[in-house]
Amino acid sequence: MNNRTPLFGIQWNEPLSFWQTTWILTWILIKLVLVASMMNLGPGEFIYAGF
Amino acid sequence: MVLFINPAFWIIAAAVYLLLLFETPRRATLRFGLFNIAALAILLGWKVAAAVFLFVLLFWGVLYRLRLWLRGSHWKADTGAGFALILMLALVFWVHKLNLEDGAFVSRFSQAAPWARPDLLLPFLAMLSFSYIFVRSVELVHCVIWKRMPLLDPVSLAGYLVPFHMLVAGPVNIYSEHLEMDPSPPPAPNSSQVLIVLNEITTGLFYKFVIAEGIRIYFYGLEGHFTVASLFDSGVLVVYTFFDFAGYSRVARGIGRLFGVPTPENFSAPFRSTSVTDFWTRWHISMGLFVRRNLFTPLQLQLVRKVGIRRAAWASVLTMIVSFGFVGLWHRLSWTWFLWGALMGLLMAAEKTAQGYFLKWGWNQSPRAQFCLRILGPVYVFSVVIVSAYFVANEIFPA
Amino acid sequence: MSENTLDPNQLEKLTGIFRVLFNAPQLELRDNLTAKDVAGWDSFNHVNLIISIEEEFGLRFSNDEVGSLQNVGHLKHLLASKLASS
Repeated sequence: MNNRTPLFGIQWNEPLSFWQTTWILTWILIKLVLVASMMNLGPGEFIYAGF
Repeated sequence: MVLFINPAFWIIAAAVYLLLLFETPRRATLRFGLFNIAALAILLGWKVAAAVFLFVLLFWGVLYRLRLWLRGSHWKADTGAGFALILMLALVFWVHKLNLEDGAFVSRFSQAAPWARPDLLLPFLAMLSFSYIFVRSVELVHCVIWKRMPLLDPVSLAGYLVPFHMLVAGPVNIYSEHLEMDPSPPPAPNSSQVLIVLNEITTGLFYKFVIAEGIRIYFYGLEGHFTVASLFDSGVLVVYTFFDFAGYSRVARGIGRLFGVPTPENFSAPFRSTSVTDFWTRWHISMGLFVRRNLFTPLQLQLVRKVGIRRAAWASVLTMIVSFGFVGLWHRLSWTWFLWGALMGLLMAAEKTAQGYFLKWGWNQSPRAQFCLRILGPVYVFSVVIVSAYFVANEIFPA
Repeated sequence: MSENTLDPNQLEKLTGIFRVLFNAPQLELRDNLTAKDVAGWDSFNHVNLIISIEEEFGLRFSNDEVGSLQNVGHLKHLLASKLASS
């Protein structure tokens, strides 16, 4: 298994710190917003689609 | 990729993840197999799921009987039985690749044998012989008949052969790794690990829907389609294919990690490869490993044992042509694709000869030679890949 | 598990095969050494390595054994158990 996430230098077996968690969540959100914008959907509409 | 913008897919994936968190005494492969059939039924309809299960049941029955029959038999019987099964699979694969279900063949077949319901039979065969199911089936025959690995029950086997999160484009999962789920199931990811996996999945979606689609829209317009009229187009196609395929693979792998179902890695910085041989260990890795396990290594071993190690390089020319010829034909049954594979094989055999000289001259010990290789290697590899994509582009996007 | 350990003479022979095949005169066979650590150790040379070992030690590996080797430690262990049983 690839145990390293290149962008944050995070190890698979180590718990995330508060700041790492914040960074990773922000980065996930940015990607989702961009993906949603490519699909002509509002970000909220995409993220909550189906829920 | 349409599957990944279907909200139903994500709801099902989340439900399967939560259900797999409950610890029960049942085997991990069986639990995943059960949920997988349910997921297939919701996503593709219960008729398709039932057909998939019937196919797996039939295949399991044949393998089960064969194993009983082969118990304590001579290895030649194993070889005969194994090849007979692979031949049968190849026949179904051939039907699929001829696209008979799309042509006038269906109406001719319907007139000749209406009782066979070719309108249902041919699409069914085409679905079963979907390329990834075919290669997994070949791997299964190799492992169960030749290597005498245990045969899973039909429900668990459906989880190996037709896993719903690897439905669109693989990767080619490994049977021995799937078996390992039972004696040593991977622990469920903790909250930090779930976040890492979600990061991987969203990166996959970003690759596909932002970068790959962005490239397509930039070069060919919003409703535009790929056309490969020049080497530049071919270069764009290669980069697009990377982000599309690697993106998909990341999503599938991320979901597999959440489920604890072995889902191999498929890409590892292929544009940093220093040779074409290196490239094929970094691009569609799971397919490369499949060919190595099931075709290259057994064939090369037998050949070199026969002709001697001094003629190993010559033997490798033949093995490479056969192995990559297969990869070519797996993409599409055509002479162009076979030639594409055979030429790739030849090129890699030539690289092998060159590498032999580099080792002889001690260039592997020289930092300067290594530096040059790291700079010039990727340029050479990218050029080869662009030319090879141009060569088969008409097959991918017919004019 | 002495029967699964190579004696110094056998280890020297094995090291010699690696050094000649990969043109690496200084190569030491650490147990955790893998194909990634040695320049030129790819699937093609892996087969050559196996055949060289078979010829040197007069034994034979199965396809399964060849495909499942993880690292040099694994190879040493397999070779030692084969030599012990032959």
